[in-house]
Amino acid sequence: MGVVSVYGSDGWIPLGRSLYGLGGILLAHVFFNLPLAVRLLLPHWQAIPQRHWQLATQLDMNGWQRFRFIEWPALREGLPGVMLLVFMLCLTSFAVVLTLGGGPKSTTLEVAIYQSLRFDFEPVRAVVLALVQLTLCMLVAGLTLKLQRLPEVEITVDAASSAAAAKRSVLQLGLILLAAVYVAMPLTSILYDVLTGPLTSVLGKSVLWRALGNSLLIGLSAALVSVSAGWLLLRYSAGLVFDGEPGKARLIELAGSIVYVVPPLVIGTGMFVMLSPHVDVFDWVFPIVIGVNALMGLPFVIRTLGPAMRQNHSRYHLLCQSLALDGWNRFRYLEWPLLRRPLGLALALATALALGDLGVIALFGTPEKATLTLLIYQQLGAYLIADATVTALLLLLLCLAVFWLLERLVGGRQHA
Amino acid sequence: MLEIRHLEFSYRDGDQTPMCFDLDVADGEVVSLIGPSGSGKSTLLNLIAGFLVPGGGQIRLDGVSIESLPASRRPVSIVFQQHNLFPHLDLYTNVALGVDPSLRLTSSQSENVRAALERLGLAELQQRKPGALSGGQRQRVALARALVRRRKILLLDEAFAALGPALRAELIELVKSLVRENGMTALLVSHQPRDALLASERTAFICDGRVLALQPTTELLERSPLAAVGEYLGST
Repeated sequence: MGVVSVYGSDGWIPLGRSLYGLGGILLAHVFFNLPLAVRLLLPHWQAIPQRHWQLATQLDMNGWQRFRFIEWPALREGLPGVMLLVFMLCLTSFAVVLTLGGGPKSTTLEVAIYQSLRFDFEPVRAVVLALVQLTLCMLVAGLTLKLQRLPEVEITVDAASSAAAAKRSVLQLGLILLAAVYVAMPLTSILYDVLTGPLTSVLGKSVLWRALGNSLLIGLSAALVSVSAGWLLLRYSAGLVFDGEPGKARLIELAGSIVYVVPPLVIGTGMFVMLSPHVDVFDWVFPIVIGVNALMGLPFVIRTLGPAMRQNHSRYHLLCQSLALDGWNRFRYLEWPLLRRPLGLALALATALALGDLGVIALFGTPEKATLTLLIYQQLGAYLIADATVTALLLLLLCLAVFWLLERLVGGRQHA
Repeated sequence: MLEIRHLEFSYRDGDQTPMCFDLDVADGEVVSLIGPSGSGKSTLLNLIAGFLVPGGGQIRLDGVSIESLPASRRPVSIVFQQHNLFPHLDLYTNVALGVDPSLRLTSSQSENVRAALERLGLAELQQRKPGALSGGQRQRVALARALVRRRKILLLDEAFAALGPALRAELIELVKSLVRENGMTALLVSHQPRDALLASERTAFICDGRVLALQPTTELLERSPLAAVGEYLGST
């Protein structure tokens, strides 16, 4: 909605053509995925040891040489994974395509699966489409994983030196500013529309608050399940890396990233086809949506927690073994203090992701069990644009609040 | 007495020749382990500590086999070159973890922790975190923890490699006195022949996964007929 109100034909910066189509879908996906890509790549950049920056200074490296010899090797480890994640998010994107699709010409596989199930009642066609989607995803995932490597060297927690930060060029600052404006404008436009619209009457509707409660329940539950499962997978995988079996570790992490190759709507379709002959799937909305969203969050959890857990394991595992520091004591005295920051981030990311889900809840949701995202979709379908704008702002504020609170409460302050 | 008999080990990748160690260390003795990089010095310590599982052979302490015990139950304390301390915990807690990982210490155990810190000259610093200490002080804390654990075998895996010569000499003297006072047995891996001279009456030379020589340190370093020792010391 924000993207349309900024770049649409009646928007602040009209792009000269209708946003309802591939152009708008592309623009919206860049808007959504830019901050995510930055957030996921940042830890790799931060993991560059301070000694490397000092060495670069000593060797009088210029900006390009610093990038080539220091930054690129660090980013290269994470880049294929992040690219794959963004690609898959775009490939399996549902809400944006549904909103900006502009008709059958711009429909994607994901939306076609949804329409086959919910409107055309053709489960066979949905399954065929799901298989096509699955094959496509597997091909891309296979290619990307060939390029991806687990870190071979121990990563230190030294933050990048302030000297390096001070050397940021004007060009870099300009790019950062441009990206910030690009991301901030659609959000500002929603805020503007809400403040100039019938805010209080919309806030008085009970359906809005019921949807808010449902969103919170699904978001937090899915994130908890996702982080718990991710933690266990990573613990096992870190042990394998430590034991010199990075291949097996990669397989374990791949298992956690199943959503890379099996999009949530495909999982949802499978569940729909599997459960519908036996139970009324619409009675099982919350457990199903929580389960699928937990799976969707796993790749984010693995990407966020993985490097820190591997580092922690490589540094302290022998010492822990020697001191018999295991189980609860190991968690309490070692893992919680040292990993709570990435843990908080993983929890916040998984929650935000589940809060923003439309695909799965659209498949299973009912008006009584709608989340904020489904409510927005229903309101847009009923041309209640002012209501949808308020709901969108509420969703945005909820995401920000939950993200901030979880990162703050769980993440705490960083240890040296 | 620590006895190591035909202790075998092979890394999974199979690039290296299979290792087989034989070594005796008397009570109260410090033995240095020297040898080229990749020769198996740290592997031997990891086998004794229980971090690696041997393919065969025995590790006996005072006649009792310990090779089947898990790492946490072995009568072993180990000090690494780095990452011995948890950065977010203060010195007292880092040492206390050596007594009881749940940190439920009795008053006498707490007193022991304080006494160990006092013995290592760290009493004034016990509330500090490792980040506020020098490299030498950090290794002292690790030694204090080894002390409170009251395990018979002390393994030092290049524990002082990052320190200057004077500090290394000081800490080696400290290790010797701790070993003597507490009836321990210590193995010290070092790349510095001078460390071996300072630390131990006897030194083992390890090459290609075997103890090629176990001799009085001066004799090994100054008059060894082994070509490998000469190559290692750069005297041939």
